[in-house]
Amino acid sequence: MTIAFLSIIVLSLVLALFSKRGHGHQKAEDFFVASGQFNTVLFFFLAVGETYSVATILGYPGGVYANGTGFVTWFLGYILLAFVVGYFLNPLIWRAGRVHGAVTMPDLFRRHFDSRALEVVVTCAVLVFLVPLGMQQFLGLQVVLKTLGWSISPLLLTCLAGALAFTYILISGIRASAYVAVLKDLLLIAAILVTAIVALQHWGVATSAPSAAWKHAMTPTLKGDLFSITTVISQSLGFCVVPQTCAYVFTARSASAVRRAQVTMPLYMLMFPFLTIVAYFALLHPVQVSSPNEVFPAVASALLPAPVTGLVMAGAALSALVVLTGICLAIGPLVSRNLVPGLSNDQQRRWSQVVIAFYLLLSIAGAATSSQLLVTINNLFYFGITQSLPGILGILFARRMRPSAIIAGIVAGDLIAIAIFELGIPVGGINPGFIGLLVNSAIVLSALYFAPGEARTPVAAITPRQSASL
Amino acid sequence: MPPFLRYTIGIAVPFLSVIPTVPLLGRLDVTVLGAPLALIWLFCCIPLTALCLAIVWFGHDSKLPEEHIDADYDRGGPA
Repeated sequence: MTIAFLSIIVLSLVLALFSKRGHGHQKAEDFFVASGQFNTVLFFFLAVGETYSVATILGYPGGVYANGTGFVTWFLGYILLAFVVGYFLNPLIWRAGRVHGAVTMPDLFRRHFDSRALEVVVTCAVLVFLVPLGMQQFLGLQVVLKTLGWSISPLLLTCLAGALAFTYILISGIRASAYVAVLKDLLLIAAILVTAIVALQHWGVATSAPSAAWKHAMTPTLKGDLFSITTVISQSLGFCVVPQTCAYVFTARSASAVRRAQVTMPLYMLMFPFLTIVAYFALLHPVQVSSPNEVFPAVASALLPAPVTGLVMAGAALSALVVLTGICLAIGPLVSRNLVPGLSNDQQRRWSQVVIAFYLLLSIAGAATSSQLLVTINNLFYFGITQSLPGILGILFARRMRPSAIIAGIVAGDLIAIAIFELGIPVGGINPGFIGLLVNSAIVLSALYFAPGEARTPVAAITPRQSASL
Repeated sequence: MPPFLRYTIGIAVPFLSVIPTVPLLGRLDVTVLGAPLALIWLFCCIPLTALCLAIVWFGHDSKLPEEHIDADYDRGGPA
C-alpha cells in the first residue's frame, strides 16, 4: 500500500517538473494564471479538479452516510447547476479578466470601478472565508493518511503534505497545479469506480440496517426542502465568484475554451452515483467507521487489496493537495497584489510565496485543533464568498453601479449570514448565505435605481470586435 | 437559435429539473432499485444538463466569433 501511494506522489512531482518545461522564468501572471494560455483540456482538468476536492470523495459519502438523501439534493444540485451558471457567466468573466488584465477577482473591481476601497473590501471579505478552506483540505488529508496506518505522528504527516503542496507551487505555480490535476482526476475516477464496483460485487445480503436517526433524516420536511432549494440557488450562483474559479477562468486561452469545457463538466459528475453506492454499502454492511468522513477510506480498505487501496488513497490525497494549491495560488496574489500596494511583478510572485507558506502553516494548525464535518466548512465558505456576486454582475451587466453600494452590500450580506449561523437565529431552514445575498442584492439594486453612479461600459456590452481593439 | 430558446434550454430546463422537482419527488414514497425516486431523478439530471448545454453550444455558441484580447496584466494591480 505504501509503495503504491508513494509512487503516485513521486509521479505527481515528475509531472509538476514537466509542467515547467519552456517556462523557465515565470512572471507573476504566468505563475498565477498561466498568462491565459491554457487550452480546453487543461482548463477542464483545473476547473473540475477544484470541483472534486477532498470534500467530495470524503465529505459526500460521509454526508449520505450521516444525513441521507436530503443532503444529496443540495450537494449534487448546486454543483450541477453551477456548471449551468458557469456556462453563461464564465465566458463574460474571462472577457472581463482580459479587458482589465486581471489575475485575481478583486483586480476586476479595482479596474472596472477605479476604486481602491472596493478592491480592499472585496479582498478582505474573500480572505476571511478562504482561510477555513485550507483547513478543510488538511482535515481530509488527515483522514486519508490515517488509513495508510503509518506509525508517524498525524501532525508531522500533515506538515509533510503541506510541504508537498508548497513544492508544487514553487516549481511552476498554476501550471504544476493543472498537470497534477490531470493525474489526480484520472486516479480519482478509477478509485471511485473500482471501490463502488467491488462494493456491488460484495453486496450480497445486507446484514445491518440504517439507524432510526438516519431514517428520520431521510423523511422530507419543509425546513429541509427550504434549506436544499436556497442552498442550491445561492451556491450554484456563488460558485462562479469563488476566487479560485475566477483565477482558473483567467487561465483559459479563449471564451470558447471556457464554454467547451463547461459543456462536458456535468458528465464528470457521473461518478456521484458510484460514491452513493459506497455510502449505502457502509450503511447496510458492518463496516467499521469511526466518523462519517471515514466512510470512503473504510470501505476501500475493507474491500480492496492493499496496493489498490494505496492507489485509491493517493487519488484522495492528491485531490486535497491540488485544491490546496489552487487555494494557495488564489490567496498569494490577493495579498501581494490587492492588499499590499506598489509591488513590482517579481515582488508580487516572491511575496505570494511567503504568504502561501504562512497560510499553509496556519491551516495545518487549524486542522490540528478542529474536527468539524468537512461539509460544514464548505457551507461556511459559500456564505461569504457568494456575497461578491452582485458586484460581479454589476461589472458584467450594469452601467451605473456605485462602488460604495457594492461595499455596503458585501458587508451587510456577510454580517447577516454569519450572525444567523453563529447565533442560531431561526429562519425556517433558509440558507443564511441566501438571506445575506438577498439583503446584499437589495442594497445594490436600490442604489442602482435611486442613486445611480457614473456611467461605465459593462463587460457584456463590449462586443468581440470592440474588445479586439482594446 | 433565438435568445429565448437559448436561455430556456440552457438555464430554465436544468434548473427546473432540479428545483423544485427533486424536493417534490422526495415526498413520494417510491423507490427504484431500492433507491428513492428523487435520487434516481437527480442522477438523470446529470446527463440531461450536459445535453442541454451541448444543444446551446452546437446550436448557437459554437458559431460565435472568437474573441482576441491581449491582456495588460501590469495594469491590473494597485497603482
